[in-house]
Amino acid sequence: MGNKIKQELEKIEIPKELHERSITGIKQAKSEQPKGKIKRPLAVAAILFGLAGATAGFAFPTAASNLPLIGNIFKFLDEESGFYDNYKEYSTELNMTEESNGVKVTVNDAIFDGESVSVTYSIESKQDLGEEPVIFQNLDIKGSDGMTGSSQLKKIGENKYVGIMTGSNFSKDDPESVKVDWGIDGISVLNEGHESEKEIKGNWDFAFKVNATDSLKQTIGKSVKQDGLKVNIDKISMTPISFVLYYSQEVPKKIRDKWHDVSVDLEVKDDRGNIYSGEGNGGSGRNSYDMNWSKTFEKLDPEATKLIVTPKVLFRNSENFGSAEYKKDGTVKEGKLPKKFKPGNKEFSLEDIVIELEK
Amino acid sequence: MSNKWKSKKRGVIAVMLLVKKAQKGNDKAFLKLFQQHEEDIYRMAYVYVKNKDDALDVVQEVAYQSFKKISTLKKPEYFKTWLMRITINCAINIVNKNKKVVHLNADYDKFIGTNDEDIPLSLSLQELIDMLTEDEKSIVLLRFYHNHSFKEIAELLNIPLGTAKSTLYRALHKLRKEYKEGDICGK
Repeated sequence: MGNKIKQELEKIEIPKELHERSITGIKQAKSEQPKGKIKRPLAVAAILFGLAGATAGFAFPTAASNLPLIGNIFKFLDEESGFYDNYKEYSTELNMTEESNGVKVTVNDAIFDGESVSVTYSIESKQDLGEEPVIFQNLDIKGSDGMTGSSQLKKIGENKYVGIMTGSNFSKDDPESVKVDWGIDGISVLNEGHESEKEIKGNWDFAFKVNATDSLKQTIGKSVKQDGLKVNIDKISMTPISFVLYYSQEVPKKIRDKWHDVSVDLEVKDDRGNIYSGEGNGGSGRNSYDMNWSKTFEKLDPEATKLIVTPKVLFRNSENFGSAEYKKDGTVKEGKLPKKFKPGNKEFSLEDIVIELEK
Repeated sequence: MSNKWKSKKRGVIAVMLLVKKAQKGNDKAFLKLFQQHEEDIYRMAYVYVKNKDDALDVVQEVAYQSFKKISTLKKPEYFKTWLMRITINCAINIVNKNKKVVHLNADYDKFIGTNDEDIPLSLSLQELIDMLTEDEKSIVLLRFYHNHSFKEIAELLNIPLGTAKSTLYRALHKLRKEYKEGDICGK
């Protein structure tokens, strides 16, 4: 039956303008994307300045014999959001290189804002690694209870790549420094369909210590409650590169009885009209309802005196979208939707919480 | 065996990386993702809207809406499922709009004509398009074209599991009946 339907649908001819129409739709959405990130003009000027010495490397990437000097990988990789704008200035230069199986991996800079470690790295290879190779090994922070992270890697010239790897630390205390291990045992080359085509095996091991940037912490303890659902902003930590909001949610029984998955995200703007983009660091809790979360946002505008935080609540009952629980022994337990829940979801905002920033 | 699994898993991870980029507003990454599914979207849409122009409109609308809302997709691994849901919604919207308009579509007539040769098939595209209601189409397509389980379909369309099952059986019954009648006439 399935094959039959597939065969029948194959009979629908694909018009040649199909792809054009996809592009039109995407362009239309792109043109409506909100602009006006904080200090955009300044950021652009800084990029030009930072890359002035490296232009030759970019203009003739295939002719360059050395890894083009990229003054600020953070900024180079993040032309869109401005999230990493101030990272380079406050990061620690490491420049550690390991070579294995014809591939040189260099860890360039690292920075730790008290919550997340971000590491920039470059790869120089004797063979082509395709447009977007991927490293599947994550950063490991010693002594952390759990970690989340992300990575990106971009081609900058023939067989040359730069990237950022981040890892967020889950631990009860506020460490002044972290010891990071990054053991890479392979680099995957992806084909056009983004499937893994081959893997260059090797051994690139890095271990380093990064001190936390200066940070100013302020206890907030402000909350908003609606139908028994409580969201509390516990504290804010401001660093020269970012700020982190720590918050928690409490879910009453009547909501637990109806919804299997409850999560709260934060949207933040300030009294000067800046809207801050952020990255959730994940969360932990004694059960899946009463959770502590943290979310890192871009650098705070020094002129701002108030932050306006809008908690966004998402209720979800779903077989597919259930949560995954990371156990102490490293196994992952996938949440299944128990029978008593009816599939569906509901999204709404709570009342704003206003934070007065201490100066 | 394990290698195959691994490579599939990595494929999924690669898609996740692209989704992450797209969520930060990167249109090139989004296009890469979207174009892997655009033919499926077009064919799905065609079954509902029954003509090329409207089906192309659906594709453009799905591209627009999905890129606009990609930041709301919490689990990148369900990107495709999510796209199909948007496709079904957009297609049904266009069908509902067109219901108010009387159609004399030349393309469509021609299509019926050429399909006459396919009568011996127990299930033809034409029957699928003509016989089934929008709800039945969604379920038949998700079940047999995208190989989703009933549970997944119920989830995707936000309907009870029992409804998903009974709608599919009703659709299959219709198609079988149509085939029998056609068969008798043919004899």
